[in-house]
Amino acid sequence: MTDTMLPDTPQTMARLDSVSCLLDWMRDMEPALRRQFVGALMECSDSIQQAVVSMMVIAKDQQAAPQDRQRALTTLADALFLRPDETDKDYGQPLAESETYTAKINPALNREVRTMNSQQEFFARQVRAIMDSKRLSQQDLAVRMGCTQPAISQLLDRLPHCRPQKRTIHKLAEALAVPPQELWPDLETAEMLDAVARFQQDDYAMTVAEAAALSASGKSKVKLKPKPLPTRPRR
Amino acid sequence: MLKLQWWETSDTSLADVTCRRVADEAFYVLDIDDGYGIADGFQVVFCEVKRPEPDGTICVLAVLRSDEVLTESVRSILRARERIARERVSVVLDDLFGR
Repeated sequence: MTDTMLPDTPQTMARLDSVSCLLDWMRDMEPALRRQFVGALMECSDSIQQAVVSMMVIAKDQQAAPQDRQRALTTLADALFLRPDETDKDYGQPLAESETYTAKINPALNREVRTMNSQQEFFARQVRAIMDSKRLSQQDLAVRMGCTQPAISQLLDRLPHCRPQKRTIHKLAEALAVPPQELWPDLETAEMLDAVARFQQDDYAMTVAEAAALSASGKSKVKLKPKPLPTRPRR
Repeated sequence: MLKLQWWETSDTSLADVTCRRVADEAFYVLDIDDGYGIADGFQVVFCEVKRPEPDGTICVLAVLRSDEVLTESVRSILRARERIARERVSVVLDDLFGR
């Protein structure tokens, strides 16, 4: 029995440490709180239980930095929903809500939000207009994009309310046989900014398209790091 | 932060803001320095929960001071938060666009 339940292995010792940590943690709790704590812990998946135990270890570690112990406690409370003021709230914040709030307190960002919203609406209109002009059904588009018709339906329904990723814009443009800028006019600017940032990596090799984009944008400060020539083994 | 919509896991920047993956971890750090219209001197640690468009989700795990080092304790806390975030957001859907 002992052999099967508690084999003398590092894993067993680690588990016993966890149990010991847990019992130690609960020792001073009020019975009601202990019940709530155990109930919450048992409802968690194995993965979250492991996370909870690892947070207990940090919170109890006297050598740990005070802010880390506080962070561990906050994380632990969050994992077990022990913050009653937040248990009814949704997790996270929608992008639109976040942007509205940020735009209120910063005029420059407000302008950018307006531009992005305008491009987003344009994108939604353009996709539908091109589909109509080319007499493409959702099924046709699904075949071209290698996905299902319901996926396209869902995408089209939500287009006016979402910001697509660049790769989705490119994939849609390819499927609709139009340049990506026809769907999202500011795409070139975004890609150029991304490319400029990538050049700052030491080992980054520029693609032909990026070189052309940079050349067109008039940026001259980019320095390309030369690559060493391959060496031939000595005979 | 408005440029988060352009971010892809293979990118090293969110437009003009440097972004890097933490070695051996599944989370990323966005360095907020000056000139971005918000308070600077911070690093935002985040992970991405992959979901099909239009529901790609980025979870902010922590906002730390720029000079804070990601010690093993901090990494452990971030890993725990990542697990929690992923589990809460993780309605595993089919990858509609084959990514």
